[in-house]
Amino acid sequence: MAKDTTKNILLRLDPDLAERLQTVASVEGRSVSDVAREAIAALVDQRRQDTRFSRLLEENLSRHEESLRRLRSDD
Amino acid sequence: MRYLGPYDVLAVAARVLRCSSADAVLRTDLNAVERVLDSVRLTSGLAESAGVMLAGLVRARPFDAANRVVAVAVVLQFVSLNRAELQLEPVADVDELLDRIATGEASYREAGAFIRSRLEHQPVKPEDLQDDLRLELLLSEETLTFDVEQEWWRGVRMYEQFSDPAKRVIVLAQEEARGFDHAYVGTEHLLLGLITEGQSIAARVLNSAGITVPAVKELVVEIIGRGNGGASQTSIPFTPRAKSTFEHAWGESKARGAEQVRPEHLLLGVLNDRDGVGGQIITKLAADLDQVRRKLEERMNWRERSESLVSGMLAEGTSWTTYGRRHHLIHELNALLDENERLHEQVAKLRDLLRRHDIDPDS
Repeated sequence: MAKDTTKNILLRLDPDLAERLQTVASVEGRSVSDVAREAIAALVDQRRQDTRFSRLLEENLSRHEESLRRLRSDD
Repeated sequence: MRYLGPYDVLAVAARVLRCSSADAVLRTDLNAVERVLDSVRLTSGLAESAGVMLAGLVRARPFDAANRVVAVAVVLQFVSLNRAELQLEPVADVDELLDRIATGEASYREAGAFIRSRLEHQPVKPEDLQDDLRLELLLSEETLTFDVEQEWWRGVRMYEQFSDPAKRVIVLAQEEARGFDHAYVGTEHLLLGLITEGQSIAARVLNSAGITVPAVKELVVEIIGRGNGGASQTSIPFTPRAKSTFEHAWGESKARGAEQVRPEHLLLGVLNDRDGVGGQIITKLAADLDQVRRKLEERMNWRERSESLVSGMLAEGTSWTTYGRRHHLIHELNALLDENERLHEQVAKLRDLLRRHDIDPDS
């Protein structure tokens, strides 16, 4: 994939949410994509703060650390 | 099954790439992730779903660095959220599979088979079920009043899609849940409902496979334990897995051209979710879950052929066959087929008994 610093995001939004994003974007003088990215990042943060989710993730990464480190890179 | 959403995937990516959530959003092709997750939602079994996820993420390369590591970490997280564990060692085999996936030599099916061979299921604990229920409540307030009789399903009241024996199975499953003082109806209760209903093909297949009420109840207590009196409410909610079982049963009934969801379709649903408590119990008691499925499908096919043959005969220009008459004849035929099946089972048991006493049943 391209390693640009920004990219277009195709979002499936309900009309109300799209309108609210548009309002926030115009008030703050930013693009809708920019505001949408920020909103997504906030939801990702929320997920990372979920206790069960983050506990399982840490357990997985710690248990499989050595195996994941030895996986061949495809970069 | 607990499916992953795009935020779950991004959270794993952010952790693996050691970057902020905002950076993870920038460094991930969200559209590609969405496409992969959409494909995963079309699958059902855990291994198959994980296979589609792994193959999809490796091929689409949505992460701008360490794509393989992030893809594998996402699959590990998906599997563990569904109470299983994936063994990665030896890593060389994983690498080889990923190479073949990337070049298109290995399909998602092969990925699924590979994952299945390295999957270890963890026993389901009561707190896991509570998690599922909590999640369900968060997802939809509808669950607070979820009841088979109240639930609307694809534009039709769900209960109307069930045959009378299938409705009896649901009622019996609810009674079984109350009997354990469980505050939910899971696939294990559906399994018990299917056995105690007693008259269907599903009940016969389960019985002949040694899956009996006492044996199942013993395992329910071993795996889940008894509840603490939370089942006094009139409407007991179904677990997400039980609801998935209904969805699968509905799909099976449609695929087979049946007008209603029957107990055998419900059993196919329970068999499909081998990670559910019902599926785990069948695996423990019958050893080979696929063999139970084959036996069930064999019986269903036989029954469908017979019914279709008789319907065809009745439809051939016989003006005296009113709908009521035809319905009555099919009902009579079903009774006859049931009796025939029962006699076949008895003959099989007698033959087995003779063999055990070193007597050739054909001599």
